[in-house]
Amino acid sequence: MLSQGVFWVFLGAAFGGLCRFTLAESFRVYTRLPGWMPIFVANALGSLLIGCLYSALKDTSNHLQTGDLPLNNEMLYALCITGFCGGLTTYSTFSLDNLLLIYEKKWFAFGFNLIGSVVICMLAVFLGLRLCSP
Amino acid sequence: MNLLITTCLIAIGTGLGACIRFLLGQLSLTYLSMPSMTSIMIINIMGSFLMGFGFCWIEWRYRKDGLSRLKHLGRHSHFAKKAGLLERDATLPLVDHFRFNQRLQRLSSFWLTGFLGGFTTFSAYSLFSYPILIEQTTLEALSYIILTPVLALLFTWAGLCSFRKIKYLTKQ
Repeated sequence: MLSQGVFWVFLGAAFGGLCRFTLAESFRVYTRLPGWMPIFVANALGSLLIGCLYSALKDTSNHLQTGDLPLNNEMLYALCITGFCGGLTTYSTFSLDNLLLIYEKKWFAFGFNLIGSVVICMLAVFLGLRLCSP
Repeated sequence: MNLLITTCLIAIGTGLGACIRFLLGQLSLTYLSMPSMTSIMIINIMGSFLMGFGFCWIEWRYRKDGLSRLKHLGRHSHFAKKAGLLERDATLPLVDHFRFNQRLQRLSSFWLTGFLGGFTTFSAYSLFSYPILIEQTTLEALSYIILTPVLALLFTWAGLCSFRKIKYLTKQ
């Protein structure tokens, strides 16, 4: 059971990490935005997705208890939430960016990144939960 | 070809990091009966510490061209110009940052962008910030929201400083 979960987490996280890298590269090539912006966007997108998926999968688990859907819910949870959303979003690069912004004395960008990320990601989770709740 | 190898390294590294996060969460849930909120917090802070340490390691151990962005940290630090919100070159992506050297780029793409990026997660942090979803009081949620970024920032700084200390000790 655990090894199956590890497999699905690996698959989802590899795909999520690729999405984050592609986002960062396309931001670097096509726009002139600073380097913390793609991480910010990836965190917000992942938070929106985790809100949607959490409410959706919680709903299917209720169905699973009544025997409605023949869906292996725990594996889907491992693939989508722990794997894909966890691989798409990152905390370590976020705090490294904050530290480098402090060193470069860009206080406005630092405050926006720190406070704006937390607030906007919480709002994104709320929006996702609202969007996918029945 | 270089882009392909970098992409593969990032995919494998992210998968490995996320697997270790998943296994640590499951083990602490079964053996220590720790809620996954706390284990995500510990994992995020630990990953931030390792990120500070590893970034400093790659930057100062291997970078020889003198263009290190941590040069402000030395004794001859000078004030950088104040810049706007959307100024370029504030923080480069980590892979792009080491573009001048292929070996460093692969090292940073596997360990920093891949492994540590998959090991830590922001989405679970913002999901667990809701007091209604997980059974917790508002005070717990508020302290969780505020403590995690502050501690992660402090521990990234501690990682940088500990590498500087080790380098200083081994130099003498």
